[in-house]
Amino acid sequence: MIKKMRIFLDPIEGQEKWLNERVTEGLRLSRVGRFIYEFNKCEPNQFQYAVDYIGNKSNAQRKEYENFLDEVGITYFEKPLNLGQFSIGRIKYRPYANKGGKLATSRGMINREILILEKEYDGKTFDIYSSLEDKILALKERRKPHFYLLIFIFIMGLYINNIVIPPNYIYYLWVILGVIAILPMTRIIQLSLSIKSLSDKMKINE
Amino acid sequence: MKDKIQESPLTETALLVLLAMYKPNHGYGVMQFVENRTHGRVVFGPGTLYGSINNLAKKKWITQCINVEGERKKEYVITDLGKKQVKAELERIREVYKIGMEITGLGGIDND
Repeated sequence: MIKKMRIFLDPIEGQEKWLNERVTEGLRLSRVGRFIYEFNKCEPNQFQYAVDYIGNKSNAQRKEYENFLDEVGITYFEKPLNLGQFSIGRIKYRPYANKGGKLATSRGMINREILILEKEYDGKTFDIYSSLEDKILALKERRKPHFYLLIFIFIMGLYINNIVIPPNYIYYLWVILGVIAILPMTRIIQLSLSIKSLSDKMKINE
Repeated sequence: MKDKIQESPLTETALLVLLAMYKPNHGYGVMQFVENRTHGRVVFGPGTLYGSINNLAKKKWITQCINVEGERKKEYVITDLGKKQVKAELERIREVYKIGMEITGLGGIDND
């Protein structure tokens, strides 16, 4: 068993690429934690991986989707994504989620925002979404949490303004918030560009 | 009764899923049906197929079969409304096909 630690700035494409690189080295995912990945040896390229975002699904929807994956013979690993969630105690508010998924309170919903899908390599690319329409929808769902994160950072900024600390510290805090805001802003731009190029393609194709 | 035919063209995904469900079929069966029949041109991703089955079921174009005991897989079958949609879609495709054949001069195959 081989353990690796990894944190992704890009938890979908970045993680997908990294896992597919590991499998070329003959490493098959066996367990995944928040940052730790455990691998077993396999034939190089015996499997292939795709990463799906399911943070918008309610607990029942997630279970249904996982049952479906079982049916079609795809192995999956659940993994947390900690972005755009506001937690108070054991309750997490996910404003970007679909109906029924907004308040994550049950154990089943917290820390299961990402699914890593595995199937045997068959020479074709492993696309979770095979139609342009679905690809666009999936990207839009992924964009949502970033918007909410930005709004949250903005509200934090307003809040800082009202607390009584020396003005110097306020500037520092603003700079820190500004730096934190760069990530969601970059992701929103990247995702929007991908959505636009797919939409242009769809106008001809479907 | 809501059995008005949808006017706009179906996506290829929806049409193929409906065709695969003229006989009771489950997710894996639909995947294989489509891959075989299109000779590997169309391969459904799991997310796309899952979304499509849910959508078609919501529209009542397909319906879940009563589960055989011990069978864990969810099977679906096309409804009458679904069949009407398929028929309308095939007529639309036939019309476009005919225009195409006439214009390109490849015609003479489909005259009935």
